Amino acid sequence: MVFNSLEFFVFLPIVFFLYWIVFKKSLKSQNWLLLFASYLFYGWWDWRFLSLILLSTLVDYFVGLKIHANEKKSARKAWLWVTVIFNVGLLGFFKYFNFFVDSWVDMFAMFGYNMHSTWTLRVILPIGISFYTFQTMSYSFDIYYKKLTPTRDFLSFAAFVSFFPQLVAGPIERASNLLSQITHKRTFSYDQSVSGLKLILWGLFKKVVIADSLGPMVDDIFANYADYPASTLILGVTMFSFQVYGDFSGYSDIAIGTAKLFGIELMSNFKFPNFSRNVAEYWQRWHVSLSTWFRHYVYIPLGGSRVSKLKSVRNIIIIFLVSGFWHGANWTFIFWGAFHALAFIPVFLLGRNTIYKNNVVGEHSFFPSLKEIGQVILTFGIVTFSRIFFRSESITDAFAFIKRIVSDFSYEVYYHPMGYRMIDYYILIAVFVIYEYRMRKDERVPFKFKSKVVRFIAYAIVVLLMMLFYDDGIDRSFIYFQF
Amino acid sequence: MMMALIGRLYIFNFKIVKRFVLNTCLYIFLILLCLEGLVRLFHLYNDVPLHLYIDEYDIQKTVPGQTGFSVTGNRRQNFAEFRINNFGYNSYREFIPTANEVEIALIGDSFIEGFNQHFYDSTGKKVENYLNDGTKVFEYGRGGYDMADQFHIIKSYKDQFDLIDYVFIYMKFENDLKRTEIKPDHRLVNLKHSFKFKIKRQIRLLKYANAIGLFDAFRRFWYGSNFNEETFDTFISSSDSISDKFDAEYLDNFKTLVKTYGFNKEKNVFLFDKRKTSPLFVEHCEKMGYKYLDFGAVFEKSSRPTDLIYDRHWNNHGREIVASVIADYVKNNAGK
Repeated sequence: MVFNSLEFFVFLPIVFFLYWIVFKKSLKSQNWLLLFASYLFYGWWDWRFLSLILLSTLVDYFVGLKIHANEKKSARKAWLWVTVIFNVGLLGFFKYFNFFVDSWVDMFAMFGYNMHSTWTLRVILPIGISFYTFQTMSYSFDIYYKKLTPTRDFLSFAAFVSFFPQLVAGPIERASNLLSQITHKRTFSYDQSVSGLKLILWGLFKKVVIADSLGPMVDDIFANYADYPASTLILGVTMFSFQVYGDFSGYSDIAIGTAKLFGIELMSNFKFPNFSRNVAEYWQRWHVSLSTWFRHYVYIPLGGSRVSKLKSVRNIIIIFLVSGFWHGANWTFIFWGAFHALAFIPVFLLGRNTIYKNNVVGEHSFFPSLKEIGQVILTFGIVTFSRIFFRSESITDAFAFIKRIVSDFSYEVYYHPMGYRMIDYYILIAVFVIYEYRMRKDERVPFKFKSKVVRFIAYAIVVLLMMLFYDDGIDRSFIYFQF
Repeated sequence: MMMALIGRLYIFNFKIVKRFVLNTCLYIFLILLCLEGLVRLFHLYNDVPLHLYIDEYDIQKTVPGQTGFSVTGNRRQNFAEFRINNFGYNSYREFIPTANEVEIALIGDSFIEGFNQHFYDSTGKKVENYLNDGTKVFEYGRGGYDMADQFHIIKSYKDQFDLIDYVFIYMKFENDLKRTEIKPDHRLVNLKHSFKFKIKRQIRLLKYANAIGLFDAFRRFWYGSNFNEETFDTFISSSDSISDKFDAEYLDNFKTLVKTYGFNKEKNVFLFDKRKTSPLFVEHCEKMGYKYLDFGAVFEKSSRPTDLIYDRHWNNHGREIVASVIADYVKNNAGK
């Protein structure tokens, strides 16, 4: 089941009603409902893969207890390895196995040995596997580092692992935040629920209006890049930047909003990354739940920035490569990660990686300074350039795409593949950027207007825009489902 | 004591939940109301006339005097005014043929009806512009008309057609020869009395949402996940099989229609896209001396698209081409 489907809009009010009206009296029954609803939500796509979630839940539940029960570091570490091997093994089997086999075959081919790959498997990548395996691992890591006491309430733990709003595409929660809310009694809050609905509406807008409407143009340009001039390729990758942002941050907003309806606060996942002033700030604002995961469980254990500069640089390279690889079993993602590492390292060496941590562009005034505008455009340009690797089918395509931009710059007007007016999309992106800039200080409060009338008009316009840009004929699945 | 406290808390929570649900419903209702206003304000809905009638010859027509705008696309990418004349067809002209002037009749389905274009910019008007000699073009077009309807019109309004100098019959071979007799569709005409029709007429938002495919999700939900695919597959396979299997049958139907209604070889001219017409039929026309105009050849040569984005009807350029083909024919045959 996906958020932008009719099924979900039938499912959500039913679960909401049961949760707050029928099962209100007992925390246990509410958690049973959450678990059942989550399994139904996931099983709607393919019920067979529910066994993987259950298995991952069981392993980490028991491993968590075992780590906690052992005082000896070696025993604790051994149990930690159990969860790492199990969860990474799951990922490896379903996500990376074919990639390794194919890369192995390709490597031999480079040396003149032609091998036929008979080992590759025909397996479907279970939706959300990268998200829930990371979430369960974080639980065991936190227990190992003694930041968390394991729960003995299996039901709550299972509900934490499979909590449907964030199960398939995050935010990747930490047990310290989500599990503690699941184990405690929730009370219905009117304001929290209203805020949840606003986030759902805003998320749907970003998905339906921004991401889905740009999708056909991006697909067209990347599929036929060899036929288009450089100006169109730049347009295509810029649009992809907005598409992937609208798609993923839209999903996160809907997830956070849905969780609010059940009295649960999820962590923020996107904090207006398009207004970042350097690449380091970008990573503090883009897919926050994943970047903090890597920071807490990979970067810091490796020594983080408290080791020599050289080792810190090594650590940065490692986390960006792993982060790229997390996105998919393709060299394009590894190059994407490497590119970001290269962009990040100079910022780190100049000691400017944390200077924008606690403020936003235009912090003390409505308009940004000229310097900030330049920084934002440069950062957006770097990040957008990296998306060529992210979006291309293969590394060869990515380099051919770049070569066409660099070596043969020419300009031509681009026409929508279905013949629609392009001006509609340019205006749409401009208005979207302006509105996001306006709300840049708090990503969790869309539609923040003092006047009720203005707020109401904004709701109506957003819904109207969704209708104006709705296209029943296009693929409406979320991009990050493939990861 | 504890139970009473829990009970009180439950009632309290229930009240807030109830308030939240009611307020949400109210907001949804108000948003829908506001959307209805916006859809009307920007005229995003399609006005296509819904009042139909069946005349004394059993011909289905549109009730005269209806005007409005035909809209296609989410963002009204195609927006065209229509006007139903006193004869029940979309045209800026009234159909009053005379003996001493040159008049042309264009008969066909929605392509001739032309709701996708301004009524003053129709194919017929373009023919008049090309000829520029006072020739009048009468467009007898209605969506859904097939060859049986067209032949039936010519026969029923014989007095009119006797005065008309050229009759161009637009045809799509795969659609227009499925039957040999007309059956007036009273169900369609009586739709206006149905509750659904009245609702649809009044609520513009509903019309708009339906037109942009918003209800397809409901239909898919209702009919299952294969809703679209099945329809698509059926469409593809049926259109493939039509060309192979039904050519002979359609040609037989055509012969029956000619036998029933008669055919004026001198005046009547078929207008079709040869690329989409059965060679059997073309061969038959040549053998019998039935005249035809193939606009498909000119379409193929055109470097610009000839169809609209949304509904495959001719766009302005397509209509220009068809009109020029007709006008050339009329010029070449003038006085013959």
